[in-house]
Formats: sequence, C-alpha cells, structure tokens
Amino acid sequence: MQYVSTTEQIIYAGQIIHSPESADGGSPRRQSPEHGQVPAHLGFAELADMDALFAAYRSRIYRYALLSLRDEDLAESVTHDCLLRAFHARASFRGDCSVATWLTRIATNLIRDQVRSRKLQFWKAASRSAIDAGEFADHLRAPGLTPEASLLVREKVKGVWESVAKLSDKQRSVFLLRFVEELEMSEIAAALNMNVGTVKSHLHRALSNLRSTHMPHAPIRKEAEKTK
Amino acid sequence: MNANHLSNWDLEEYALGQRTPEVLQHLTQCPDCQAAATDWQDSLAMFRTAAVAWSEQSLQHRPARIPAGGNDPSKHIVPSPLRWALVAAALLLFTLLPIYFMHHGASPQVARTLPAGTSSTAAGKPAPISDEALLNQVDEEVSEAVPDSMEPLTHLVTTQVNTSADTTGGSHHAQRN
Repeated sequence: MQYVSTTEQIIYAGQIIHSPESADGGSPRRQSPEHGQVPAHLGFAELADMDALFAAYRSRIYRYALLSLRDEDLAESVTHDCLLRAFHARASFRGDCSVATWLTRIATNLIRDQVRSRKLQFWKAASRSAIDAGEFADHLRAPGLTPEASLLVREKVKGVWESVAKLSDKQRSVFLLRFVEELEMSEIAAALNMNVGTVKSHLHRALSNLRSTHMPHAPIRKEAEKTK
Repeated sequence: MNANHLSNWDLEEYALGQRTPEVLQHLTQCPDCQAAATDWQDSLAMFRTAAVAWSEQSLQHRPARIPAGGNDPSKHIVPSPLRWALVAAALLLFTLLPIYFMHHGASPQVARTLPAGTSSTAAGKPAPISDEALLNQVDEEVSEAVPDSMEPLTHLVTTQVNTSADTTGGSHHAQRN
C-alpha cells in the first residue's frame, strides 16, 4: 500500500483520492476500487499534515492518557508519542476505521506499556504531577448550585474518580472511552481490538464496581435484586 | 426488570444508553427508579465535566511541541523526573569541580613535577609554591616535639638532664679513678 501526501494531492493505495485539479474536472479522478474515497469525517486528510494532526487530536488523546495514567507528564509523553507514531505510520493506516479510533488504539497500547513499566511504578509515588481525588473534583464546574448541592456533587465525583482508579486496566479504558470520550460500543471495540460483547461485559463490570463502592443503593433496588 | 422496580442491570443498561421501551415506561411511572437512574446519569455526567475541565486546564499550561518535519518519536525528549534528576546531578558536578580544584591547587600535577627549590620561572614571574615546599613546611612544624607555649619547661628539663648527666658522669669518672 502506498500513501503519499502533499498539500495539493493525497494518494492512497495508488489512487488519487483528493486533488484540486480533479475537483474541477481538469484531470480524471481516480478512486481506490476497494476503499473508494475516504469520507471526510474519518479525518484522513489530517494525517498528511502534522500540525493539523496535533491540532485535531492532541486534546482528545491527552485527555484519555491523562485520565488513564493520572499523571500530566506521562500523559503528555504518551500523547506526543502517539501522534508522532501515527504520523510516521500513516502509510499503514487502511482507513477501515476513523483516524480517532486508530489513534485511540495506538494511545491504548502506549498507556499499557507505561502502566506495565516499572518506571511508572517507581515514579508514581514520587511524582508531583499525580492528581488526587480532591484536586480532580476541584475542576468541577457546576454554576448555579447551592453550596450544599455543590458539596454533594463534588463528593460523588470524588467517589467515581476513586472507583475508576480501582478498575482493571481494560475496564478503565472501556469506561473512559464510553463515558468521557463518549464513543459508541463498536468504536470502543475497534479501538481496543475487542468484540462488542466483550466491551459491554467490561462496561457492566465497571459500573457494577462503581455501584458497589460509591453509587448508593436505594433500599427498594436492593429489595428488587433479592426478589429477582 | 422486576415487577416493582428496575434491577441494577436495568439501571446500568440505562446508563449505557441501552434503553428499552419497557424501562422508559417504568421510569415515567416510578419516581424512585427515576431518581436512581438520574443519580447514575448525573454522577457520570459530572465526572465527565470534571475530567474535561481538568484536561483542558492542564493542556493550557503545556504548549504543543510539534517537531518540524516530523522527527523520530523515539528520539524526542520529554521532561521526566529521572531526566531532571540527571540534569541536576550534572549541574552540581560542574559547580563542585572548580571549587575542588581551587582548594587543591589549580594544576597539582604540574606542581609535583617541579624540582624542589625551583622558585621562579623563565619569564621572571613569581612561581607558585610547589606542593613539596608546602609539605616540607608542614613537616617542620609537625616535627617540633614541643609547642611554643611549653618551650620554657623543655629548657628546664633539658638543663636538668644535662646537669644530672654531668653528675652521674662525674661519679663514674670518680669510681673509675
């Protein structure tokens, strides 16, 4: 597969898929018979330009890495690595998923490597950039709430934050992609290389763990569970 | 779904966006389950709000370092605690080395190779005191058996020894005689 890009022309799999000349009918437009023209929403064109790639996806990848690693320095390192690797490996991008999904997959692998490395375990305790639950909840913006309601919400957010920390790596990834990045199940499955059923199973386990630790059980629901 | 209330599974499904018509209908009729479902949804939404706000705020203090032309990702430098520690150690070393040499002579090797008694250079400039001369001076001071403050006593003792030696010598001489 060949992928060559300039600001004027993008060639994918040996076929010109975007060209200003072809747009105005100046030259015949060729398209890949297998893939056809890559839809704009996949963000394929952004892979051609590093600035555009960073501008479009840095924030998103950083957020995912930050919430997974809970360390700003490491999150930035992972984000940088992810985007650069994607840019250098853009020739291997087949276009069967969106660029965002592909980047998420790369970021997930990098995060997993970071978590596995002993370096993280050592620096985790000493790192100044690590964030605790209180600091995280301080970022909550809930205007218009009374002080009591605000405190209640803050405690809930702290609870979720602490519960997410206790999830397994896979459960945490699935949870963050679903409830923070708001990806669909199929997108999460593609990003994490899982079946949709496995994703759903991980999500239910994650939510179950959240409920068992911080989400309050209403007595009526306990009763309902017993009678089930 | 239970006949009376939603189960935890139903609530999780609701939070995941898998909302069946039966669940939705039950929620319209049951305020308790509605409160529980809303509680779930609010907590997760607030968590997302805080996460996004934290990420954005954190990113504001970190300008994008986009490499020109796309460098190899394995070669880029990201500040980490270990790297900062190494940099600090290197700085400390470069600061302490000149201080060490100031205290131990600028060029000790050269000074040691100079012959003893050499006190001036060919250019006529005053030569620095060699290590050997310094050591000799130290040796002289250390070799003094008695400090200055006790010298009178030493004199007294040596006089006494001399006189006793004279007397014993005289007696021996008398005995021989």
